Amino acid sequence: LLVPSLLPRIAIVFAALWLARNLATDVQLMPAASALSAPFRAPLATSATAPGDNWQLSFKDLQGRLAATDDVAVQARDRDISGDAILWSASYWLFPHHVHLLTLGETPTSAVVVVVTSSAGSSPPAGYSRMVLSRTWPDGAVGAYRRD
Amino acid sequence: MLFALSAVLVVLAYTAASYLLGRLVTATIGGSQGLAAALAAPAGASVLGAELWAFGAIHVPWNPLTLLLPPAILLLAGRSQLRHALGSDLEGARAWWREGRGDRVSSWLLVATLVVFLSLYMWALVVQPLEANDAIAVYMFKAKLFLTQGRVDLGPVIRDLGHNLAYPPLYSLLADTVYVVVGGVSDSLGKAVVFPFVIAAPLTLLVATARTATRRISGLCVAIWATMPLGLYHVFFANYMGYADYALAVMVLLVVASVAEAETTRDPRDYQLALVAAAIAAMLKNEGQVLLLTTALVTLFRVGRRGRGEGRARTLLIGVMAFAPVTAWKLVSLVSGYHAQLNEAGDLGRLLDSGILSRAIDILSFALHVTSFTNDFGWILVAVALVLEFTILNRSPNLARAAVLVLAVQVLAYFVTYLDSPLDINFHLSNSLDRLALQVTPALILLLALASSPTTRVSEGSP
Repeated sequence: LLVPSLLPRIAIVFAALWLARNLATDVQLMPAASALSAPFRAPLATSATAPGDNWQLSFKDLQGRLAATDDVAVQARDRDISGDAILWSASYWLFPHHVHLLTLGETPTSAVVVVVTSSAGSSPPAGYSRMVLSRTWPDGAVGAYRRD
Repeated sequence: MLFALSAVLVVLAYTAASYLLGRLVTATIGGSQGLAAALAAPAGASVLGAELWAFGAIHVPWNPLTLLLPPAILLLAGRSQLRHALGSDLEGARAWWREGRGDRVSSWLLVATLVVFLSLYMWALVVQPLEANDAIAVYMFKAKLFLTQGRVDLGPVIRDLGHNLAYPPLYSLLADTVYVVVGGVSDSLGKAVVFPFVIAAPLTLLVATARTATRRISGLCVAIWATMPLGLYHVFFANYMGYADYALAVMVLLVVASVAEAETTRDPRDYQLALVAAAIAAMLKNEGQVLLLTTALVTLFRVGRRGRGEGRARTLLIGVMAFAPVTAWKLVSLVSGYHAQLNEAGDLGRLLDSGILSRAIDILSFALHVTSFTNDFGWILVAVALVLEFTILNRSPNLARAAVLVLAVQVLAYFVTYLDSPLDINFHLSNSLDRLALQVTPALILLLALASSPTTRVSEGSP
């Protein structure tokens, strides 16, 4: 075990090393912070679906284009995407609309689509943001934003 | 860009208002002036959140007037006490600067670190996207739901376990206080309500180490916390923005700092500050309930043995007030049928089955597997080993055993929760271990700084 009289010095040296390691890691992480120069805008909109490494989730815009009474449904066709993740996200972004999951199909490249099932639903707005669901959810988590 | 700058101003105003209201509360309690100042902003923010909860329950509409009028009246009524407290805080800051005359470089470095990191955090909190799972599914979702209804009611989503309904409502209510003032939901501002807690952490580390540590040691522990990647994921990068864990970590720090201070001063009012901080923690996340219980037991034991009539009575009153919101929420959850995923098959029943040993091995194996010096876990583990060495073998005079005990019980509670978890243990650990580590890390850093300080703490005051 450590010599008692040396212990405070050892602790301080350790703390200094810990700080140095933190700073070194922070510097490595800095490229990921480049997006901080552009604030995000939260509302989501519809987008074209695109196959790729990630799955896209298209949402209607919230800026007054959905009526509060519209019934919103989420349609997913990939079992690798958690229905919970979709519902959590959809129910938040489309709040206060009632959101429910329509299907979970098997087509591997299809996207997840949110549709307004009420006839009162308005047409999709121009411009869009993306919502990306990683295949490895929950580790991949979700991203849903648009930057100015 | 204009939007982000306005959001920054709103968050600064929110933090300042929280500080003023909370400072009146902590000045009423008394105790260590530095810790009372550090606790002020989180306490004020929590009072505003609790006010919305109470108003919703008695059908008072949520709007800027109803939210701000009662605190304004309180501040007006207590203006002389508040002025005195603010004057003492200012004088305390001046004294801290004067005392650092011998090591001006460290003082300047410390101030520069704080300004740079707090500014970066503030900016990131308003411009980063809201994309973290639980932030969306739990905290900010509930904030929207509460705001729409004008009350804390999870009835509309009662069948949806994904929203973890039994989680306490305070963090969502903090977001609601800002939503009410700005007139609607703002994801930028919702995430940024953690800022009063962000500034409380370095303040707590500074005031709690001021009496014993050199300026260099105080600066080191503030800088370690400010730069720790585990924390940056909550206040700088979007990974965990909108989660309540950072705020809870700061409250654990305040509890441990207050108990450590109380063990030195033997002033019941410092235990009372610890109780207030623990009550806030308990209303932020369920993990805080263990903290509140441990803090109450330590307080009961210490003040019960050392305290005198008035000190005991006040401590008892504050203890009852600390448990009141937690008990109220438990009753509401019970009556309304709110559940959390973790509670569904838990209730400690799994601790008695035959698989407990293998689950314990799985948990420890997972923890060891992820521990490395390339991430924060390796460093945290060494810090734990050093604090244990200081506590058990070296018996450092600066390290209050009760403060170590509070933190140790908290960690033990996490282990028991994992043992009792109905979830797949690898899934559970991989999704929570880093956040639980974050919850105890600032308090661990404080204990390490206290233990390695050269000056012995001097007992002041009496119960």
